[in-house]
Amino acid sequence: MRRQASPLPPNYSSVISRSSVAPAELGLGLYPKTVPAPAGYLWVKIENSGDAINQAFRVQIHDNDTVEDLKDVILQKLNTSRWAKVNDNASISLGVYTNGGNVMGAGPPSLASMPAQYHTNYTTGANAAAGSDVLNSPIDIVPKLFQKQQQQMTPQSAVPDSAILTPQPKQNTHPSKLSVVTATNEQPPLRSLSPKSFMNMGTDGSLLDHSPSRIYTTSPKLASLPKALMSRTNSITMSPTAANGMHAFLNATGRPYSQSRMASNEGNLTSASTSPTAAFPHSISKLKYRTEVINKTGASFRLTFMPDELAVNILHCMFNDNQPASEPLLIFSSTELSIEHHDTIELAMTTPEGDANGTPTQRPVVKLDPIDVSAHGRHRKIGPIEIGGDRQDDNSAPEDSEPDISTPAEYKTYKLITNEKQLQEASNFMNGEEGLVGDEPSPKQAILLLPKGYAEEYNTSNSASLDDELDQSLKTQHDIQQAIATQLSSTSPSTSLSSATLQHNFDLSLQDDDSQYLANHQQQQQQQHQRQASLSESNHHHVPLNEQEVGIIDPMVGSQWQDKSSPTKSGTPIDTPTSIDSADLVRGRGNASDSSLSKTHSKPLPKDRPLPHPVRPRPKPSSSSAPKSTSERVFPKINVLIVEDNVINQAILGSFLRKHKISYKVAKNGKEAVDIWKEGGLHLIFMDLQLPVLSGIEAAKQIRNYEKDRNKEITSGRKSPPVIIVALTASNSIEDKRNALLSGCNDYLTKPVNLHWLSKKITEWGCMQALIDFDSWKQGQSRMTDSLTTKSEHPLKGKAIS
Amino acid sequence: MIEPMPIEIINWGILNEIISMDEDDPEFSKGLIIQYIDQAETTFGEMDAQLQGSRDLAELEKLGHFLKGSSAALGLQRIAWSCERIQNLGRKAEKSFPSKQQLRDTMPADLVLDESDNAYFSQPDAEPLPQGDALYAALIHKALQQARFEFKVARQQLSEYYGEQL
Repeated sequence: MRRQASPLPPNYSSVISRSSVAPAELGLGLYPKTVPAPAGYLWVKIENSGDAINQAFRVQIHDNDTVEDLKDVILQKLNTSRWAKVNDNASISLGVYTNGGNVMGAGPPSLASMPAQYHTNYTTGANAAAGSDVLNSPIDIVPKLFQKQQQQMTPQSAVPDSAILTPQPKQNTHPSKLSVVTATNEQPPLRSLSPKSFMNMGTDGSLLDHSPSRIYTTSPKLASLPKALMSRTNSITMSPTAANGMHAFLNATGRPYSQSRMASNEGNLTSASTSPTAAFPHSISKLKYRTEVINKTGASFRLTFMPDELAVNILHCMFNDNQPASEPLLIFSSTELSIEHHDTIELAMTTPEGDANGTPTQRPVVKLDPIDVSAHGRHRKIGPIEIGGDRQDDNSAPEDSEPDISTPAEYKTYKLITNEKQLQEASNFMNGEEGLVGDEPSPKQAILLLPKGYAEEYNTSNSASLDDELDQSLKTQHDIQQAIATQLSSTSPSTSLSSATLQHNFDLSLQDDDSQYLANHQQQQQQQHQRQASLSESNHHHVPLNEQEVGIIDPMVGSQWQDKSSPTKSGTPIDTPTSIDSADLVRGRGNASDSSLSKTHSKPLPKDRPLPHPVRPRPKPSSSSAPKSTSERVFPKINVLIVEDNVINQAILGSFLRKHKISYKVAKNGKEAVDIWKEGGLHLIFMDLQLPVLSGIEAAKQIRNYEKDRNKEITSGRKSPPVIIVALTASNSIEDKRNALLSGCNDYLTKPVNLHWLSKKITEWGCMQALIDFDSWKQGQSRMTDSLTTKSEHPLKGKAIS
Repeated sequence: MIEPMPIEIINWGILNEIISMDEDDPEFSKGLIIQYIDQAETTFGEMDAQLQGSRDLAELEKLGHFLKGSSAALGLQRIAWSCERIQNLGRKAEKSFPSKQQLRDTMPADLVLDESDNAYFSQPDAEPLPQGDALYAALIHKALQQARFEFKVARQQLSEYYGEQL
């Protein structure tokens, strides 16, 4: 029962002084009015941030704080930084790297850590005790579907399987697991669960709460709503005072939860400490988290905590309440997370049930009919909505409840529409469907614009662009909200629920065409044994995205374009299955008219028109031996100048650019930079500000002045686009940054330059330059585009000169 | 307001990014570290020369900035911090430097100090400090001592990592 006493450094003294909030108080499920004393501090650090803050910093946590709360605090703390502007609760997650015994900082190279496949696995007690950081999918509770996934996992992951294959009611081995089992045995399952929802429950660390967690709420709107509603039952589990009262808090078998919990905790502690490879001081198996393999051998994992995990749990279980600053939790800002939104959107708005003595009250479960929600033309089957029910329901036996894994054909999620007539038909059809749902505010039909050549069979894989995904999940959640509201108001009189009654649990799980998705998922995995770099990479592997001109372009322009771009293009053909081979085009271009072209090819004049600076040739899926980052393939072909006086920094930046096959030059002072710039051909300059001979600020000013003069001289014809100057500021001071911008720099990066940010900047500005270059080229060719060119050049110039 | 000294000798988050480039270019990071060690020793020497010679604060500031850049880029954050102090003292943006005891308190608990380190930390800070420009030079001297100490510790850790004496 007692917490492990640990010697704490002075600044951690507050860890011990915990708030004494009575369980009953917490039972309300709302934030206690009085601000509780901090339960401790967690060191956190933004992963991969080259911008404002890349030092670990400390955030105060309270007993009831969930990871979600922690994110709020972090975002608030960083709200002046640019980082915070591009991130929100939904886009960040907290976690660590774990790498065969190393944690976090010593983890795998973060740059190369574009996630491959997500293994949404939850640990059970066995593996952590084995000192292995390998995580098992909860196959003990998830039938068939997930066994397949299990097979996909890396060899190491198979180790402790036998221990967890079937939950065995053995005493004392995994007491917490036992509790799960007993609970499920004693309680007839009141709900039928989809596999997805199971995945969110199997964690033994959260015996008492088991309100299926809300995962990654993407919608800002939603983020605030369920937050207030979110379960505080965790608090009962973990708050020490609550734990005291928990002797009386017996589970269905009469075994105190708290004892089994603590026993397992200590058991894991000892085994972990004896194991030399133990990654964590304490077992992390108590925590709810998700892992994903981030390198191809499967030896490294990224581990992210579920939003409803308690911060104090993390502090306690991972760091034994004593977290060194050197091992901060990493704040992953990942757009990748949103990939998963549409797979496992799950809303859980629960509040603790229980009266003062902690006995859970039973509530009737109201089952609602599945609702169809269509999002972007994709229909989802939403699992039965249940309202009420006490949290033990959530422990309901996996073997008892057969998850509905069938995916009926009518849930085919999209329809490919290629012309207006079909669109009209689809529109009518969707309107018809609305009627079926009843008088609820029906979800709007949505049309997802897909690029030409988009292959239908890939639609359910992670093929849509990130934005689409995000957008989609936003929409879906919104739709769900509406659906819930309607259902609640119309079908649940027995519990006198309204959508606003926060005291009741309602749990809504989305079943997103699971089998279909998984089949696809596995297919992908099998095809690519290697870690798959990113969503975008998988795009390229699976989706024959075709860069094709829509409409008709002047053959003259086309041919000139081809000529112009041929030197670069020849090396980097965009090879897409459906694209016409470029030899065809070259032939057709010279002597064939438009009509003959369109005769040859069924598609209306598909000009194989590359980007001004074509993307790099994509590696063959089979030969992608080295991990590739997303950005690598989209790096435009640009010439970069590094202005840096320190050879070490030159070497780092240079090596990075070499790695990404970007041509670059190096200048060691401002004067050299100006001289090299005068030679021409530069697109992007990374300029250190404090330089010998001529400072970066001065060099930037000179370059801008030369540009102005030069453009004055050229009254007609082509003007060269301004070079993009990204300042490398050593300090984080606003003064420096303002000076940089005033001197004519377009952007800045804080040193030490984070390579992740560096690649972002290269992509961002490089693409911009590519566009500008294209425009200026067109300006030289055609007067018709003059206005366009000036327009697109203005914002940049304005920014540069201001 | 002087920002607090980071606790960890090496910011592995940063260094790992560089180590990750070894994939394409084996020994890249090690070569870089060796280059850095040379650079640091050279720069420390130049700082010493300045302190014993003309005490050109502007020059010291530049040297501090210079070494700060590469130290930070490699994640050697405590050296970078010390160099930043030198830089700021050189341009008179700061006029104090933490005591040895304070600095010792910032060190990781598991760090083992040898006798010379202990001697360095037990040696009391010189008081009173001179006034005027000499104050900055004196403080830079302290900062340089600290930087050297941090360099030594970082070098040890890097040697451990690479499994050879660097």
